[in-house]
Order: sequence, then C-alpha cells, then structure tokens
Amino acid sequence: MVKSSLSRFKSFDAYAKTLDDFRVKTSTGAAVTFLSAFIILVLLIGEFLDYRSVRIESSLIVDGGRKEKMSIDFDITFPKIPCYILTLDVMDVAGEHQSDITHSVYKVQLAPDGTEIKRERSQNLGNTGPDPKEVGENYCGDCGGAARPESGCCNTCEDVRQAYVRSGWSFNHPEGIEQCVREGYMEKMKEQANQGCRVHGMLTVNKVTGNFHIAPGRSFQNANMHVHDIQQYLEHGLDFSHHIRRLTFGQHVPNVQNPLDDQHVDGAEGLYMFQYYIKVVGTTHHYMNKPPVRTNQYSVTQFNRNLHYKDEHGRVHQPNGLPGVFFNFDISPMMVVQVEERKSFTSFLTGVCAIVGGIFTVASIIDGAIWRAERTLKRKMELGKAL
Amino acid sequence: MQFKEFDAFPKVESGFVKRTGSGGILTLIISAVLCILVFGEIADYMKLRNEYNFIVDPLINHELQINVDITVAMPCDALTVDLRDIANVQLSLSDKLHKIPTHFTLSSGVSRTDKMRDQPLNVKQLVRAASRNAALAQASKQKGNEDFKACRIFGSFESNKLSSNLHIMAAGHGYFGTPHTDHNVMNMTHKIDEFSFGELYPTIVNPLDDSFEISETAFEAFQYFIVVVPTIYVDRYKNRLMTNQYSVSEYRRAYDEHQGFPGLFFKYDFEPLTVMITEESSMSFGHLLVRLAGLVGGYYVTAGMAHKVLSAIYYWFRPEQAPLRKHNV
Repeated sequence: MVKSSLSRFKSFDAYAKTLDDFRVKTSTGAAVTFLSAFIILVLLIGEFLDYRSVRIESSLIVDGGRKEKMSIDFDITFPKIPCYILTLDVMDVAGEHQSDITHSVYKVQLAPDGTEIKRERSQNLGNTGPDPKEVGENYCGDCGGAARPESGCCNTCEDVRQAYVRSGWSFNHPEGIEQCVREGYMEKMKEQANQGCRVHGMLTVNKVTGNFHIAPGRSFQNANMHVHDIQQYLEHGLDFSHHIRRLTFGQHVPNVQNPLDDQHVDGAEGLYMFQYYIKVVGTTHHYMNKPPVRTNQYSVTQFNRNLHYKDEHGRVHQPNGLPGVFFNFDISPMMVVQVEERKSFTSFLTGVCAIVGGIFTVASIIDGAIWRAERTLKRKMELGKAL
Repeated sequence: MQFKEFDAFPKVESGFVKRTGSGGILTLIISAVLCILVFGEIADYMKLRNEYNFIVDPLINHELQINVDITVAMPCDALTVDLRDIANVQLSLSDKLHKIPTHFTLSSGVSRTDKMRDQPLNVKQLVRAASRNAALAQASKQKGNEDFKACRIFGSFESNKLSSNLHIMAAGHGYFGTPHTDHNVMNMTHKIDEFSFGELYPTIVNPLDDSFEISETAFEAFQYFIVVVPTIYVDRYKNRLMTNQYSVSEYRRAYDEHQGFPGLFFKYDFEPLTVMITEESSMSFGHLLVRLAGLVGGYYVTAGMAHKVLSAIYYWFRPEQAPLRKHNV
C-alpha cells in the first residue's frame, strides 16, 4: 500500500538513479572521490570555524549622551615619595572643583623595597583630635599666630598647618610647634621619609573636559586660584618617578587598550611636571549575549617638563609650574560602537550546501572528462594495434 | 572490495546514454554563460575596495614632525616664526626653519604634475607615491637681482603632539624684544607650498598645499583652523603608510593700525581617532574557489534540471515525439 502510493511520486524524482548494472566504476573515479571528499572536509571545517568565530564590527557615531558621569579607575605607584606629601585633586572646566577628593581613593605606604606597610582610605589626614587624657578637657591650642579656624583652637599639628596655609604662610618648622612635638609629627615625617606611596582608587567625575593631578603639598583655594603649598619641598626637590599600573575610564571591554597601563617613568629627580594629555572617546560594546556596556577608551600624548630652570648664567629660577603628575582629559565628540557578530545559521547552511554540492558536481564533471579521455585513448590504441 | 568500488561518480557506457540535439545545444549555451559568470566572479575578486576602520591610538605619543614651506611677501629679517601649545610651551622656530630671500611669484617653478588631487582615493598609488623619496626642494638663490621682497620659510621641526598655534608674524608686532617692523614693509600675502604633519611625503597633497592668499592691507591676520586626523593607509600587499590628514577652515581679518597683530596663524588640534584605510579584495582566494565551485556545480545541475523539465513539457504537448518507454522503472 505504502509502496503503491509512493510510486505515484515516481515521475517527480529529480534524482534519477542509474541502475547499478550500467554503472561503471573506475579507480581514477575513486581517487577523485577521495580527493573531493578531502577538499570538502577541509572547506567545511573552515566554514564551521568561520561560523563559530565572533567578529567585532565597529562603527562610528556622534556621541549623543547627556549628563553622563565617567569613572576613572587608577592605580599609580610613587616609589620615592611618601604618602603624606601627596594630594589628589580633581578639577573640571565646568567649575566643579573638587579639592582634596576623598572618593574611594586609597593611599598605601610602601617600604623602600616595595612592600606594603599601611593602607588607609584617604581622608582628611590628621582629623582625629589629640588624646584628651594627655591634654586637659578644656585644651585650646595656640595657632602660632596664624589665622584661627572657626572653632578658635588649633588642637592638632594638622590644625596648625591648615591655619598656616590659611594665612598664606609656609609650614617649614614643625619642631617649634607644641602640638606637632606632642604628636611626634617630625618622627612621623622622618619615619616616612624613605617610603613610597601607592595611590589607587576610583573617581567619578562629570564627563567634561577636566584634569586630575597628584601633586605635593596640601592644596587650597586662594582667591579663585588653585594653590599647592610646596614651599618646604622646593629646596631638595622631589623624585616624581611613577609607575602607572592602571588608568581606565570605565569598564574593560574587548578590543580596547589603555595605552597608559603599566607605564614606567623613572629617574625624575628634581622638579618634574609630568603631563598626560588624554582624549577620551566614548565606546559602547554590544556583547552577543550580555547587555551592552558603555565605557571609554583614550589616546594620550605625554609631555614632561623639568621645572628647575637654569639660565645661561647658571642661576636657578623659581619654577613656573607645579611638580607632579597631571592627567588632563578632553572628551571627543565621536563615539565608537562595537558590535559582536556571528554569521547566521542560514548563511552557514547555504555555505555548506554550496561547498558540498559545488565541489561534488565539479569533481564529477572532471571525473567524467578523465574517464572519457581514457576510453578514447584506449580505443585509439586498440585501433592502432588493429592496423 | 576493490578500491574502485569507492567511485561515487556513476559513469554510464556511452551505449546506454542517450544524447539529444537539444541537450547538445544546451551544453554549449551553458558553457558560454558559465564562462561569463566565472569571469565576472574573478573580476569581482580582482576588484579592490577601501575598508575604513577607526582605532583609538594605542601608543603613547610624544612628538610629531611638522613640515612647512611658505613664502611670505616680506623680507626675511622682518618675520618671526613661533609655536605655542596648550602645555604652555613656547618654541621659537625662526632659527630652526630655513629662511631664504626670494621673489614672490604665484606661478610655482616646481612642477606638481605628479601630485594627486581631487582623485578617488587610491591607496596603492598613495603608498607608492610616499615611497618616492623627494626632499623639500632646495630653493636656489636667484642671482642677478638682489632686491628680494619676499621670504621663503621652509623645513621640518618637531613639536609636542598637542593642540598648538603656529604663527608667523612681523617682527615687533606681537612679541617684545624684536625690532619694530615698518608698516610699509608689512604685507601678509603668502603662498603655501607644503603644510603637513608627520613624515614628509611631498607627493601627497594636503588641503593647504598650493594655496595662496593676497593681503590688501598691512594689518591683516590670516587664521587657519586645522583638525588633524592621524591616518594609516594599508595597501593589498600590507605596505603601511602612516601619515596625517587634516581638514582646514580659514578666517581672515583686517585690523586698523595698532589694533591687532597681523600674521599667519595656524591653529591645529588632533583627533584621538586614527583612520585606518585598508585596500582589500572583497573575498579571500579560498572563498573565491568555493564560490567558483558552487557556481559551476550549481549552474550545471540547475541547467540539467531545467532541460529535463522543459523537455517533459514539450513531450506533454507532443506525445507522439516522446521516446518510447518500454517499461517504467
């Protein structure tokens, strides 16, 4: 029954089969079969690999984002500068001036051999008041003649220091100040003198042109000017050798390199100003099976300047700049969109069919030609013998 | 089981195959069309297209070479060349660049016929042109007439790869400490023969090359706002050419006497994105082979089936011409 209904479709058979009795099989044919099978296999593997591989297609659009924040993730080691000297400031052109930023930034004191000694979250150093047992309940420290803070007292060495800064004086001789002697300020300084410092952490800033810098001395705002108190470091100079382990402006995505990662700058004795001019390009990465990620990549131009300027007579001039490491960032209007792509399954199937069908047919044509040629030759030879 | 048992291509002794006239014609037509298609495919493979990619420069930049060749219609000793960048670095270039007294003529003596302009981008030609070694043409002093009214400023210098302002001004106007230039001498008419960033490739034409501006008054300032886009050209043999393209917009302004500083101001800035233009064929050689096999095979099979269908229809209408069917298989 099944057979008879099937036989009705017989006339539609596009794959008319030659009866086995009429088929001629030759060893050259078998050789061509193996050869073509091998070629098909190789091409199929290639096609499959091509289908499985993920390509990143990138295109360029104008960045249309608004009110965006940008996170700066950094990890910088200063092997020659103790932590108490360094200050981190973030400034942006939009007027948002965040002095002494403490936003999840850590300072790690490093021994001269690079091992970590003490790790602290960077807060306003020395904010803790003096031990009340040591001084009386009603202790109100003298500010050494400098402008007093709102509380009217300078109870810690740090208070005195800030009072000096407010008055525009330089804080050069802590050994004469009672609070500092009690706190062991000089010992602390001496102890840390050979230490290094690792500053790492995360800042979140507005995505506008701006800069952040790591420079010596406490910074303060004086008549709309950003000033660092560096008087005490000028004489000896500071070695601002640094090692940038990481500087990223957002999450890591494939195909994006951060040029400043693992960047060493050594031998910077004296007063050096290291400027990094960074251009930030917004980047969106569309993963194949994860939500898209917005991040940033950057290009950078480095520029160093020695602030110890000697004129032709050998006189050392006042430095016309602030020693330290400066990262000036600028935002590009363009945005890179990266899309992970894979060939579609249907196009893979089309490719497979083209390979199998194409190679097989071509091989059969070639084989037929060889066979015919062989036969003709044989016949001619037989004819020649007969003659 | 013999080796030949593996033969997957059934061949039928010619005694058992029926050859028809229509089949013969069809084969000829198929071969002709196939030839055309194969040639089309090969031509497609040979054709090159430019692939544009954008990368953010992964290297740390320091300095960049800038090449200039500008003739200003003023005596050399009355001109100063300076550069100032956003890192507040000031560079006096008056001594670093060559200054040669010359005559101001707008017909350039240097033949520029081999320069390419307003042509569709051809990376291969560009890369080849760049490898042609030609230094900035050394101007030979014209002898005889010693009354030179113009100055040719040319040469290359390194500066920080930062947005900067390169300016050519009259001495005494703008910078202190230089002798004041008489207002009668001042004339900012100029001709630019070369203004490029990166290694000097004289045969590559940049937007400012071969341009000139004529100043009408003594106190006139010409400002060129330039945005530089680093570019890498890669031809199909993987030869690389790293250079910089730029776009320029200009602005001129005439001042009353002593109201402003006359001069030529080139303000340039750099794009963080590098354009990578790669010349490549649309497919690989392996891909071409697969396509050819698919084409030949598919076409052969399709045409065969078409022949079958057509003859079936033909015999449907004229059953008397149909070949005798002795038995149904």
